[in-house]
Amino acid sequence: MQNSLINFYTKLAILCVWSIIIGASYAFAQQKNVSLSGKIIDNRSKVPLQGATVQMKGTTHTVATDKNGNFKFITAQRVPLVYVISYVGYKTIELPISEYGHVLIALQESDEQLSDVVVVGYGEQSRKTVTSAVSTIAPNKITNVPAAGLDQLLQGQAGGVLATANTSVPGSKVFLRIRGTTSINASNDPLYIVDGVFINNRTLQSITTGGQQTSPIADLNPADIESIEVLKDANATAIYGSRGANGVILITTKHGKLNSKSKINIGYYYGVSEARKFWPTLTGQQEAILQNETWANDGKPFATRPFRPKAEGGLGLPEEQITVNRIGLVFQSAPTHNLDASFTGGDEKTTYYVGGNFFKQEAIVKPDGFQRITAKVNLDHQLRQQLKIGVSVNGVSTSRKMSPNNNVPYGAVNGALYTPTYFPLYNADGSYARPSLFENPVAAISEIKFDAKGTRGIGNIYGEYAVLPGLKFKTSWSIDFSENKEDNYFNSKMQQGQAPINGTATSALTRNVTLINEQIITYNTTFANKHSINAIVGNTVQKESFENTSVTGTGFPTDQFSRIASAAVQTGSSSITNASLLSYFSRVSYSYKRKYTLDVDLRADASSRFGAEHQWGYFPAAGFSWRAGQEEFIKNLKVFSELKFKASYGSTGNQNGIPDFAAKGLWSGGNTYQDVSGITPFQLPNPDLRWETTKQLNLGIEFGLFKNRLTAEFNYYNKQTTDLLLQLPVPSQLGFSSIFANAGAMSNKGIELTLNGEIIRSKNFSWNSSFNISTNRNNVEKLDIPILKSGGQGIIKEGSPLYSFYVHKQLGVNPKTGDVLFDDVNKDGKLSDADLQIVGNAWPSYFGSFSNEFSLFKNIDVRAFIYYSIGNKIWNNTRYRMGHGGSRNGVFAMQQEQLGRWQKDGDITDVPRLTATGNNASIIPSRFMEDGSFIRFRNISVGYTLPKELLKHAKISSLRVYLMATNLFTITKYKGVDPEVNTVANDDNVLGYDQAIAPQPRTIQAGFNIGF
Amino acid sequence: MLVFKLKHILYLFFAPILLASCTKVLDTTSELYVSDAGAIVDKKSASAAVIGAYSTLGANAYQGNTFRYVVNLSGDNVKWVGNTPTNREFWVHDIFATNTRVLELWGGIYKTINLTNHIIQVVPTINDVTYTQTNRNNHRGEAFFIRAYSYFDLARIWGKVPIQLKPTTSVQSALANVEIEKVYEQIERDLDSAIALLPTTVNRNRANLYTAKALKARLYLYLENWQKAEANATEVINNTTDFKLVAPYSAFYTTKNTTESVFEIAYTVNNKNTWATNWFASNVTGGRRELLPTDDLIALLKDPAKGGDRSALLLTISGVTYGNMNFKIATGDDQVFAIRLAELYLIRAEARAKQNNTDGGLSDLNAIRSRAKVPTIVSVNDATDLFNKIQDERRLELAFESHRWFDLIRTKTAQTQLKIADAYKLRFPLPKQDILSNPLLTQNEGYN
Repeated sequence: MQNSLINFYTKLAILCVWSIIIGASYAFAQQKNVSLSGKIIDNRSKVPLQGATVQMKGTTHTVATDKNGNFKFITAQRVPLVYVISYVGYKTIELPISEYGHVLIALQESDEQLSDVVVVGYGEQSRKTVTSAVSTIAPNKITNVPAAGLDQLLQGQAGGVLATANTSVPGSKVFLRIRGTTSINASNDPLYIVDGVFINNRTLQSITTGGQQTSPIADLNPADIESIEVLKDANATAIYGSRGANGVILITTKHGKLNSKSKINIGYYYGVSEARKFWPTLTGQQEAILQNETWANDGKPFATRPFRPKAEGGLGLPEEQITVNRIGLVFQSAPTHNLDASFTGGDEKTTYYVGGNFFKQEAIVKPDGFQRITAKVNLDHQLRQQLKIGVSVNGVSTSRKMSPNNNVPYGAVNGALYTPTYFPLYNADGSYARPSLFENPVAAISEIKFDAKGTRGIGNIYGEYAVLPGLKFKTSWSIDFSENKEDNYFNSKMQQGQAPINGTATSALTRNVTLINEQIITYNTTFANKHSINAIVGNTVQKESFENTSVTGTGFPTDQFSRIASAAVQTGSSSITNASLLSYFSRVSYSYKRKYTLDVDLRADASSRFGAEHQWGYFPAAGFSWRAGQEEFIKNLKVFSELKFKASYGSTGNQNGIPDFAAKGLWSGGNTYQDVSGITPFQLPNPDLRWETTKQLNLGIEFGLFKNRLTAEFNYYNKQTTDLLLQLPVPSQLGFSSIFANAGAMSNKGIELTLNGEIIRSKNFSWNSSFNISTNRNNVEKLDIPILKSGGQGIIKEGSPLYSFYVHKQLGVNPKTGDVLFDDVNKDGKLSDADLQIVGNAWPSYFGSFSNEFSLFKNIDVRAFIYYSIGNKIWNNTRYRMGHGGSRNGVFAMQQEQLGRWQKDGDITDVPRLTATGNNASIIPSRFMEDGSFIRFRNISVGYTLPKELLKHAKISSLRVYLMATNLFTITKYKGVDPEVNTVANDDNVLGYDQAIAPQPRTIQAGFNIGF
Repeated sequence: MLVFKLKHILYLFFAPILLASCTKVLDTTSELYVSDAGAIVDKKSASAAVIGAYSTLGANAYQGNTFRYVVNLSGDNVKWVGNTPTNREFWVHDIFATNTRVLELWGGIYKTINLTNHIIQVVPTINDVTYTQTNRNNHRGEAFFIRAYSYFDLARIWGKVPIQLKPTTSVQSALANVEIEKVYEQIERDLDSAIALLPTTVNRNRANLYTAKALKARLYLYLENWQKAEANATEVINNTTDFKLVAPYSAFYTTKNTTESVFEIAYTVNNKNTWATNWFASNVTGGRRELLPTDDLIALLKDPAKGGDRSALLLTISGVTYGNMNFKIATGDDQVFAIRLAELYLIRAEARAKQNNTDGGLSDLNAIRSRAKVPTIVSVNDATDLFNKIQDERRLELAFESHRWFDLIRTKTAQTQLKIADAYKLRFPLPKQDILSNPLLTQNEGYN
């Protein structure tokens, strides 16, 4: 009994002592730093993971694991806290820590490269709780594809993103729309942000090449990219306020990892591109027969027909005509080289990434080409426990060989395609023959000098300070400087430079400088283990200037001189424009048990472009998500491994694309008379000019089945744009043709469905598949005055979508007379512009992609990426020019289609009789609008990764070799050379217009990636 | 230590906000343009505005190219061998209201008118002691003349057009079109104002008293006010110190500002027009070869009894006969011979013929013929015969100077001569875009 009592007291004493010790240590710990440690291993192989990062959630305090997988924090933080553990290739986990001590953490390899956080505006969010429509594009989807521009690589990679290459010239602008087109005269290009820095995507090209423009997005090296997020709905984009209406493309570049071994990666590929298809031109004899037939049909005397014997003063009989294949002369097998090298690593405080790229691609049409050299450095350093600084520098040098290419008669393709084939290439004296309107194609490709050299520097420094646990302050200063120097020279052997001009040269320097300063305060906290709050508030000041100086010289002594100093006549010009933007923004995100999440955003922007009373715009948005899959009643169904509903609504603005001084009444100088400069009114004032606003509703559902082996995301959106920024036509009698005004409204509604499946997952074989399909219905809701598009056969009209084709409808060809039967809309018995009608539009009914990845024996990978666009119409202006009967005076060559013309009573055809008179010749008929639907095998690749055992001795950590074919084949009924076409790239309101543009090339390439 | 750091960080945070809150950053000023309010403020800027008015008058959208292109192509001296359907419509007299060149020309003319409206209204109110009354009168006189010139072109191409006399400073309500008679009355008023203000000193590239009188002679020719047409033409012809016919014929266009030019719109390499590129083939001089002389005209010009020296207007290269009046592709300075003395002789000849003064008319006609080195006409049967001979002469003498189309309409011979079945086609359609943007505007009959 006594023993037991003693025993009891002893135990009590020990307990007390322990209590005191624990209490004291607790108290001690609360005053001083404690040490928290752990080890991170692979959950399957149990191998320690070196370089995994562990962050205390809500702080900047991050450590990395050493080579044994161990990490250690010395910190003033107290439990409970949350570790955020991330490692490339593994799922990021958040681990609540409620006790001090050592923890063993096993990471699970991620099935896909995507991490579980998604980058959103000014921060990151958990993919599981995110309330917005955000698409993430993994870098392996876009690297090693032989396209210069990142924008082109986005095609088919995300639902709702419509991307169309405008030309086969590398480094050119791409038609890109996220969830439709919201604006008519303001810009429709998305906002590009690289590591939080807005980057310029306005072309710096100042010497026109006839519609196509160079793309500043081609300055970026795809290999530097870690991930791309496409922000689509209002909740995601409202934080970018005035700049978010067209969607945002967030690019995160690669950074080093703490405590990681330095790695060297080198990749190289070489490819050859060729045209897939050419235009069906006629032989010289066929041309001659058709021209004589036109002559006869028009009742002109047989004796003076154009193709009569030379002795009679004609061009020779049809059978005497030669056929010159000019098209073959301007096309080539074009090589592409790409070399990437990167160095990455880090110690316990500093991480680095150094990436370099050399890319050189020639166009399939001579002489164009694009070359890019980039260097990228990302450096981050934990200066103090609370203070982190970083610098990011991207230096780019580009070099382009350019030429006038499409709409212009002095371009190579025009000269090769449109010159009738019976004309000889050279004159008797050996000089270039230029028999019609067009440049001699050989002169166009071999005599021209047209170079553009671009320099770009994007730099950013930031400091991030953890003021209190969970409270961070970040300031960031950036510059985006780009400069483009263009020099062209048309010597006296060329059409533009021939006597009496004797050579003409232009030299132009264009510079864009964007300065941005940004402050952000973020606050993250979780309490009671179920309420998490994430809040940010910040501001941005941006100044932008765009300058151009150009000099033109004509009259060169000989062709050897090409610099303007040698020109007889020299004229110059310079211009500048500048704008600034001031913004404040905030977002609060609240999540309950990671099950219900509510986001609220607000941004206020002021733009110098608007009237003084209308400079400020306020853009609020809110989003809500419910992870129904976490509810017990859904779990009990045992169907869904994940189920989430989300909804968001908000507004964004647009001010891009309109001139910097659009609200002001202006007069211009330089209106010269007798070498004296005069002034004239330039622009009507509009003090009411204000923001274009887009309100967007997004409803979405995401679910996963079979343990997430099948995942799906479905979104419906409805975007309503009001106060459209418009170059509104005004009656010409006012002395102006238009005014910048807010007039009209537009809507875009659509659905996006994305499916991802791991169809087969076995030891030696796996098959992953991904499919997406999107639709967008665009409609001009309100527009008081319809806008006719000169050229392009277009109209913008209330009640119809943008990119509508407006022509006379051809009902057929009268079998009796061979005349076109036109639709007489108003039944007045004659054809006038009142009978014009909308016959179709360039929007696809639906579009998307289907992508498959196979892996065999873990070493062989096969990828196939298919892009499709169904229901889009194309105005085939090449066919119109070459297939429009005899109306072209023999200036344009004809196409084979003409051979099927009406010739005699009873012929059933849609090609009318040849004539240079009457409606057949005058009126542009709808038969040149075609269905442009296509399914294209965009990329197919086969790769082989060498076994590691084999590489060990060579100290190589990885080596993959591969073969890839791009645009291998295309299924389409389109009669032109390529259904993916958009010639009028400098007009945002034209899509699907085909005019003598070379097709997208077919490329075969081989390459390797090696890691040390 | 921590507090100290925090303070600095906070400064760093607030500094840009404070800076920005001045919103100075939002006050951007264009370096390329000036504001409406700062445009015409003193003598120098008013002079610049007058220069601007000549510049818009001579712009490619108006006299520089489009006017010459569509008007010459509408007649029967020039044929179309180009390839752009838009241009072809003028040649086949089947013009659609959506034709972009119609809009371009219409807009180009009203742009000129708007600037003259500014000058006419603002010049008297400018507070600048160095700006003398004579300067002001001259500037306003020039503006009145250019405005009259512009309305004249509008009236003879479209007929019923809106008369805009106030400068546009904001989007104001548009006006309806008025009858052609009202337009001609306005032109007459503007010319009267110009005559009262303009100097007598002759500057062939700028408006002066004689330019205004000459235009008035043309106006009365169109209005068939023969007496006044004769009187105004005579006033110019009688100024023999300044105005003389030059020989040979081609001298008036191979040299700038000869004594034959009453009003010549000037171009230099710094202020080019693209007119010449329409005439020659690309393998000759880099042009587009869209316009060639018609076979009829070639035959007439080559006939020594009809064309004489005027065959210099033709040039044959490897079997193709080109018009050779406008060939300055490189320098782009083919002048517009807007009014020249030969026209005034022909105006007076016609006015005299219509007043049955056949002798007087014949002597004017022969003045033109003898300069062209074609045999003079000794006698005519009657006034109608003389009138017809004058019309034939006008066709050759003013071959490429944008008169033929209007002469055919004016003399009511256009439909037969040009084989145009529908009378409404003698007027161009008003641009569709303007019909859409101005509900008060009525389309010319036949184009609806």
